[in-house]
Amino acid sequence: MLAFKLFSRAHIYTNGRNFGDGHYPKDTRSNAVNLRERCQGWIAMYELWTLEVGSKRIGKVQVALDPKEVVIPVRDLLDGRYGRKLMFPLIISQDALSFVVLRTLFSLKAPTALAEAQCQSQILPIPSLYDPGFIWVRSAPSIQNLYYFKGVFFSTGRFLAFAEQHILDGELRIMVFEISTEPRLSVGLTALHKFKHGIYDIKFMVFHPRVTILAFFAASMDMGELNSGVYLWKFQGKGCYSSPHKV
Amino acid sequence: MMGQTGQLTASENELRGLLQLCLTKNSILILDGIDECGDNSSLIKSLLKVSVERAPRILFLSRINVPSLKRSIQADMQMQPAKQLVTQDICLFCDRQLDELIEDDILPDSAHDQKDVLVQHLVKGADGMFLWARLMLQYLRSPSLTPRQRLRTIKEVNFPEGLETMYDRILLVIHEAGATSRSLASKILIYVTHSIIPMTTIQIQHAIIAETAEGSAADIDDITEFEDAAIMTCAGLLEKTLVDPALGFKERSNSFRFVHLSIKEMLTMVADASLLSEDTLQKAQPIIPEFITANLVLARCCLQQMIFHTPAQPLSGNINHGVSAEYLYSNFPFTSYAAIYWMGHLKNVISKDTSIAAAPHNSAAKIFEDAFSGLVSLLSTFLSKPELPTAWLECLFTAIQTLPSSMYQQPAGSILQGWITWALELSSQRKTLKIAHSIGDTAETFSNDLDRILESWGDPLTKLPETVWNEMTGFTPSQFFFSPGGTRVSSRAPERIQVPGLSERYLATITGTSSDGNLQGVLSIWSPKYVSFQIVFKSSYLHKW
Repeated sequence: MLAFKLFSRAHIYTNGRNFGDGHYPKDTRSNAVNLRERCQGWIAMYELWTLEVGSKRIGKVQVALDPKEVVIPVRDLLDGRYGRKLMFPLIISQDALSFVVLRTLFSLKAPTALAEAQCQSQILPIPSLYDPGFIWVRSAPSIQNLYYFKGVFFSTGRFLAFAEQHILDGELRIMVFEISTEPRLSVGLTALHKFKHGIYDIKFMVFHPRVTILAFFAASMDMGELNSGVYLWKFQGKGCYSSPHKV
Repeated sequence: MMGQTGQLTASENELRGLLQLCLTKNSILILDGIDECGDNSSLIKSLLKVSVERAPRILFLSRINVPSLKRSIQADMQMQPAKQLVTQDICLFCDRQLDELIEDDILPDSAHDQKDVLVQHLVKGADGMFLWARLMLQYLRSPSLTPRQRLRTIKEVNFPEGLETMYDRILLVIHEAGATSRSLASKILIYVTHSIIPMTTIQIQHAIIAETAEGSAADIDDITEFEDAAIMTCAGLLEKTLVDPALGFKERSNSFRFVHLSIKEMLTMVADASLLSEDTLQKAQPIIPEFITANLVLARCCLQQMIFHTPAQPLSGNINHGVSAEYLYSNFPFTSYAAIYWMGHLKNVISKDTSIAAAPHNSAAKIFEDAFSGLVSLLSTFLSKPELPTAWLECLFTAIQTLPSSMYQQPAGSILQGWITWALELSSQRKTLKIAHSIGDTAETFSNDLDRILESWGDPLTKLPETVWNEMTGFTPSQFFFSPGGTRVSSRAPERIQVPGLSERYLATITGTSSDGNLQGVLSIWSPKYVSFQIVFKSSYLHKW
């Protein structure tokens, strides 16, 4: 039996070594495990409730998670980057009508008297989307697979900031996506900034509650020297943004 | 310095550093009462370190019984005032005080012609001890003495007496002052000696009223009159002082303190009969009981305040509004103390009394038994009405808002349970002490509920104490706490997904509420059955993603 332990909404603890032992179809290559089967059948369920007196559930959707997405945190887990923690980003927007699971945005159309809640989804249009594949080599050095991502919604739900980092190239990318739900869900990349040197980590990321300014705290280790600071990043619309300003 | 760690109290090193910054070689420091300092050895060491680096001039004033002072200061730098010089001062002091006593008609006019002789008697009795002279002259102001008795008392002093005789005399005058006056003195001395933090004079005044269930606000006299009466009743053992601002009182409040630390030492020695003469003990015990009884008396008084003199309803009158600590202190001064420390006094009882046999058998037994049975009876009342523990929690969390955390210890069910166990064991050994065994079960259930509530609601109640009347019991039901029924709890746990092969329980879940507060979304992740897991949910992490 595999032992998983969830810690907060984004972390799942497990015994990474056991995860692959005997439970996964092995590839023809030695020490290679095919994770495809185990990444299938994962489901996200979103339930929407009203909060007035006599609160009731007004919508419920179930969506199958893309195995190509599920495999990312599973690989990180097996590589043991976070010990027994499984990084599994889940975000809900401030209007409670959108949510993100891993790198997929889901948008709910509020139910009406005539129609039930409807859900649309789109994978975030991240340039050069990282796709590690299902084959995981158990004995290989783990650094090649390490991938890190987190996100935050703007107050109106119109923007989504997303940070991702692939350890191998040492590049940290911060993106802002603009979301439109009418007539159908569309997501466009509005702003992109790359931190190229050193190993970066985003400690927190938050939007200004009213204006389109993103604040984040980034820490980097360059040539053994810790460099950290708070950045403000202003953007107005698609392609119209300046570089983050360190304060 | 302190801001970096967020600490509210400076460490010894930090204070020494600050002192070093302020001092120059021209600075002069005069420190009085080194013998009354709790850790005088450490104080002297710190100041001597500062003096090495900054070379200020420091004068330590102390009784001679401080070994660390004798050790640390070179012999040629130590100076003991010559007895003759002190005697001259005492002579002058007594002369002027006698003038005042004659002028105030406390001594008869005939004393004026004998003043020099009277001064000589007093100087002999003092034998170079200024404190003795001060206590004697304060004692002479006692209203229970007639002018002729006062004169005779002075004339009877023909030999050096020492403080013990002086204290005997004071205790005797308190003892013989009549039941009402003795009872008042006893209560005040118990509060001043055994309160966990110094009580203000207003709190003491209200505590005295609280000791009688029928007492009411109408019994409250002007505070200045009460303070004067208290000092007179205690025959000059006490004086007024300002309460330490660190205790969180916004306005300057008065408190009582002993005119000298040796008085407190004498009164607390009552706990150990072997340290006092039989004569002193017989006079002292009815006035100031030993440690355990005193703490039982204080715990009883606190509960009496909570039950009979504190509203058994929201302090603001509205379950949705709280009050400030200042409001609580202004309207229910003693509640501010009682709510925080009644359990502390219970804890003192069980922590001190390691042996049941240590409970008094002597003349103080009656006071002990009264305090014991009174407390048991009040506890039963307290646990029988849900409004009372609820009001207590609101008062507690309101009162601690302005108090540094180092000044109180959060209550715990284990304290109450420990006390009940102690009480049951004691009553099984003494037939005169009665306690129903059923209170043990009730207290145990209450203690468990209290711990559960403090664990779940400690932080929210610190911010909004009035929540205790509203949401708290909605989420943490307990028969001992008031439940208005206005809070209904419905689960937002994700509904189980009926898909073959899927785990029976979600792997992860988060909740998000819309900014306008109208909608709430519950997102859950479900994995195939081969994954087993255990949920450890910490809501404080929610904002981090």
